[in-house]
Amino acid sequence: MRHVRDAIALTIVLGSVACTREHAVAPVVGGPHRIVALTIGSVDTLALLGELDRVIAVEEDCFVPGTEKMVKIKNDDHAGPSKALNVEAVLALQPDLVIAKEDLRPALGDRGIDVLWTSNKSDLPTVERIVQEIGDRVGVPDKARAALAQMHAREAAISKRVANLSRVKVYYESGRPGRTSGRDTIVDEMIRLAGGVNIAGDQALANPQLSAEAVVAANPDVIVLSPWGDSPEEVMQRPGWNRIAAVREKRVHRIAERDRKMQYPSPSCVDGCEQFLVPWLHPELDETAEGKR
Amino acid sequence: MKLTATGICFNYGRTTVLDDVSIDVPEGELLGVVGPNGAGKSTLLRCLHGSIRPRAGTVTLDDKPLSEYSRKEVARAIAVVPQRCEIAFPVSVRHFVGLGRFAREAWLGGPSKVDRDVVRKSLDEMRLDPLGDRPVDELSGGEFRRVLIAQALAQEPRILLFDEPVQQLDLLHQLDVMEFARAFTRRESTSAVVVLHDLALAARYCDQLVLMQKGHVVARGKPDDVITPESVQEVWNVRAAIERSPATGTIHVVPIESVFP
Amino acid sequence: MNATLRRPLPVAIIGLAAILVALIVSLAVGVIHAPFSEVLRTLIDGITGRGSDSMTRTLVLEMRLPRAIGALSVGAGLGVAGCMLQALLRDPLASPTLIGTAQASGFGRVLGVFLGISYAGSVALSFVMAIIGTLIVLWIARSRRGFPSQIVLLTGVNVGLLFAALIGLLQYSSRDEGQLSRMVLMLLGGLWQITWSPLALVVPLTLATITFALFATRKLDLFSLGEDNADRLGLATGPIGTAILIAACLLTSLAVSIAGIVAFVGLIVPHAARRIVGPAHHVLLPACAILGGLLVLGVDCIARTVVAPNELPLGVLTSIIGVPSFLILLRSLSRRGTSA
Repeated sequence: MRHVRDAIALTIVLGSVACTREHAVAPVVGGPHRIVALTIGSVDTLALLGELDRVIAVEEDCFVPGTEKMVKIKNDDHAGPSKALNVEAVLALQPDLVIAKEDLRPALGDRGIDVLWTSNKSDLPTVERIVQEIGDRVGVPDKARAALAQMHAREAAISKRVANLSRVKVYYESGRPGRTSGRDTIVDEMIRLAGGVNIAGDQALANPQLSAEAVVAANPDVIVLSPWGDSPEEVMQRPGWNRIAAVREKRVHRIAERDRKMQYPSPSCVDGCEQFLVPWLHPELDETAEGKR
Repeated sequence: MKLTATGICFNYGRTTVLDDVSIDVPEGELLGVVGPNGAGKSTLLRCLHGSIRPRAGTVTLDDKPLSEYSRKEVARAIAVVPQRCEIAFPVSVRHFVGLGRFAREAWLGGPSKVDRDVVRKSLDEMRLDPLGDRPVDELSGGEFRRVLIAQALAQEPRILLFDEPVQQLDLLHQLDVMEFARAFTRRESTSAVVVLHDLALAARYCDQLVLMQKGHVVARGKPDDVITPESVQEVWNVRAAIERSPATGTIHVVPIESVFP
Repeated sequence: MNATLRRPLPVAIIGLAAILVALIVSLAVGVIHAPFSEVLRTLIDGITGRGSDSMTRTLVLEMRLPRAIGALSVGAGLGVAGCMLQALLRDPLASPTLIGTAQASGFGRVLGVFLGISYAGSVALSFVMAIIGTLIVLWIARSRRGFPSQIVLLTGVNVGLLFAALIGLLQYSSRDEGQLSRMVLMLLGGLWQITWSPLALVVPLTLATITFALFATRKLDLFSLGEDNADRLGLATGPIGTAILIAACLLTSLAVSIAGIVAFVGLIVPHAARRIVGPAHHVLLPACAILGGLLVLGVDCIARTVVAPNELPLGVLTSIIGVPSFLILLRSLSRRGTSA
């Protein structure tokens, strides 16, 4: 019994010594080339900057083109931050840079690896900060600045297109009934940019759970569904929802699987906004364009 | 009604509790079962009403094996007054006694007028009428014993089995229970079996005694013949004097010392 | 205790009246304001098949009514299931969530989602799992003298954890976000998406099972004396105990199939009902159905109004109410000491 106890004590002592044997992280010459990118937005950003070949592993759900053959790390943020990530799998890859959300700090912090922490928030200022930071870290700050400038230009163009149009009320549904995006999330900002008003835009929660009646009461003009969850047909059949303008006018749209990056904070969400959110919210724009032609 | 056990054996796991036990319960008599702890008395009682099935041998009721009766049919003929009955949810005394009617109630519709009358009679007989609305967990030991008997009576049985019915009762209630048990056997074609520790009570009230030891019946007959200094010493390892009380005319046992073989 | 409340007829009349009132009140509360008189008129029109299409009509008849009926069905089912389990195991702490039945049933339901089978199929799967889970618990906990309370509860809690882990495993293996989302929604417990079509299956089955239970009240009385005593009074404990257990599992899985795991209703309701009408099952069982229905209906009204326009998961709210009640119950049992 005593031996067992001693062994346990020894293990703990050695373990803690090993853990504190930190951690002088040397900067990598030529920038990191073994990046483990655990947010979809950061992978997308790296792709945008043309630096995807520096990445060796991405999170499991990552769908960014060019990452198909990379190592996939399970990072299930529904199961709680520190439990859901296989830290050893990350460490075993000997990354010289890990990009991860703040909420993985308990799992990844103080492990002797270089981590670029990104905010848990997903609004546009956060996106801009991430792009610049990633650009700085991989040694292409100019490219990052250019990408941001381009992003700003496109934002301005969209704003201009929808400037004189009436604001359209939008209900966005994220995966399950009633679950939506609150104020200052990327979806909220994209809706606003596209000339809409998010019916949950006054809610401080990132993912509020609206009641069915609240959606009916808000009477949105357009319903946008995430690629997973109920289909437009199912949503239109919900009891009482035939009272909603969007359902009556069949303006219920589902973001296609390939377009889902609109929901993740990276410059390409503006693409999504431009490509389908604006037409969904303002079909009259297309008609006038066709009319001119 | 005639209840007979023939050559029954029972064991819990590897422990043999009953080994080739045969008894019959004569009509109109109170049969006492005595013996030291672990002799198999309570197990015998459980076999006698079919709550457990003997590994070998048979128990018959009116010459038909007990296993061929449904549990309801058995409960209409044989009622058991258990050693104890823990109360999880305390119903009223009247309701508790009324549960004795289960085996005779119609399948649907709950208790009929007849059922209610029988319950009232049973309560009266056990002098429980004033307690009818009391929760059963608020009774004294003596009162609760009478409630258990009233419940058994509500079954309108021909045979009553008592499992150590006087345990933890004061003197008055002990006599009360034993007098009732004997009186019951004097009704029409009724009989009763009572498992007892108290040899004096057994000798005073029972018509016949069965003496058990380690799963065997070692003696059977009139109390005076079964309870002897020799049998007490053999079965209990106690040297005892058997004296006859001038007041009752029945025997009682005066233990003298323990003798280990 | 009032003697009137110990007889079935007054309890049924008062209870059904209370349910009717609660039902009508629940139809009038919500995010969208609807005047009480109009709700009443709409309801009467709806029953008589008159009236024209209007917002209030949609609101009352298509959104709030199915939800209220669903809440009543879930509550009544869980209340009766808890009551049956407590009598069967003669254990005041037995309930579908504490002995693992609900978790097993939830696992079956989530497995149904995982395998992508039909609604009726997943209800059946959930029922089968409920029985398997409960049998595991009872098989492990059974002793020669019935089911000792502590062992049943310890086993039940652990088997519950096992099935919760299996649910976690299914979530981990989910094919896509949508499937995961559905699983999570299913288990939080709630009536968000309730429509008439699942109710058409669940409500009649629940009512039929409760009716069966109403015919078994005498047997439940006997079971609560313990298996030995039930047996000596003429009850065939084996087959009837099995039938009661199956009924309790069925009620649990029906409740789980429309509202997820709604904890504590099956535990608290029988106790509250026992305080009001006493422990005799011919009154207690209908009281459990009524009180359970009222409780879940009330809690669901709170769930959909208290943080309006948002909504709280039903299961979370019943736990918030249930845990303190459970602790008070434990305290009173430990004070009472022996008979528990």
